[in-house]
Amino acid sequence: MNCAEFWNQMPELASGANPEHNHAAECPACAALLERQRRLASGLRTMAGDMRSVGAPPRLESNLLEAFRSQLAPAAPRPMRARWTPVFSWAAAVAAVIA
Amino acid sequence: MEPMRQEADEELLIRLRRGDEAAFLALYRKRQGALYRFALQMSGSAGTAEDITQEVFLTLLRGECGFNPERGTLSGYLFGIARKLALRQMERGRVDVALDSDAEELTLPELAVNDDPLADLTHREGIEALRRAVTALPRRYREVVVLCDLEELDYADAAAALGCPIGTVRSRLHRARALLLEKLNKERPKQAMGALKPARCEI
Repeated sequence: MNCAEFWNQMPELASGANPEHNHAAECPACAALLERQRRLASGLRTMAGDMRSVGAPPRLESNLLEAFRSQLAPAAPRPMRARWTPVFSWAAAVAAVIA
Repeated sequence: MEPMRQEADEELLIRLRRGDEAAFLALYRKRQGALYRFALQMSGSAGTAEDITQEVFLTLLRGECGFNPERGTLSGYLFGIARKLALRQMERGRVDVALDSDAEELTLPELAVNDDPLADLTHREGIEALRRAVTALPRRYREVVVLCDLEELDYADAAAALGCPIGTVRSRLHRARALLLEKLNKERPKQAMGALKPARCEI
């Protein structure tokens, strides 16, 4: 592996996704570059950790829940009486006609 | 005792579309933080980040939700919506210009005791300098750093969010990290610059 090939693998090397190649042991300049990239990656992880607790304000959850209920929540079951009302109405109408 | 299995996003989406409120809440609580932080990093405004996060979840509730599991994960899809909304805000010229000009005016604290600014990344001031350097990155590099380095998306999810090939994500991330190192170096007092001159390869 030469320096260019080593440099091309830097994103994975810096994040530890790829194991370190022997090239770093042979080339002090690339070893120094890798070390800087790893320290940067470590700094970014610290920064990410600091921000982990940041999130949307609680009111957003309430707003969205309201939107969910109005758009997707299943409709409340109709009262039994409502379903029978038209039947009774028709029966009353028929009875009235017969009478 | 067996650990409670975390339900996959896609399963939660199926349930929420059937009207399951618990599934909606679970998905919201699982994803809102990362989406909000991404929107905050991209817009620099808490109000805009809140609007964007709200709009992302409202999209899921509407019939227009075009998520296709064959094209990527729900997480990548949600970040993609957030990104489009953030870009729309930037196009309106309300956010990004101000953010970049603010970044230009930032001055870093004197850190002359160390030869290497990266050594400062173990200290509070160093992390603050790094945060400002991320904020000052051009948008296309900032978004990839936020997605891959801060929110730890894999390349495939980041590619889905950014609407570009995985190779582009990788090369932008590579370039973004180089730019961050440059920015951290530039912010250093001149006498300390020698330690971070680009190293010349001997092989």
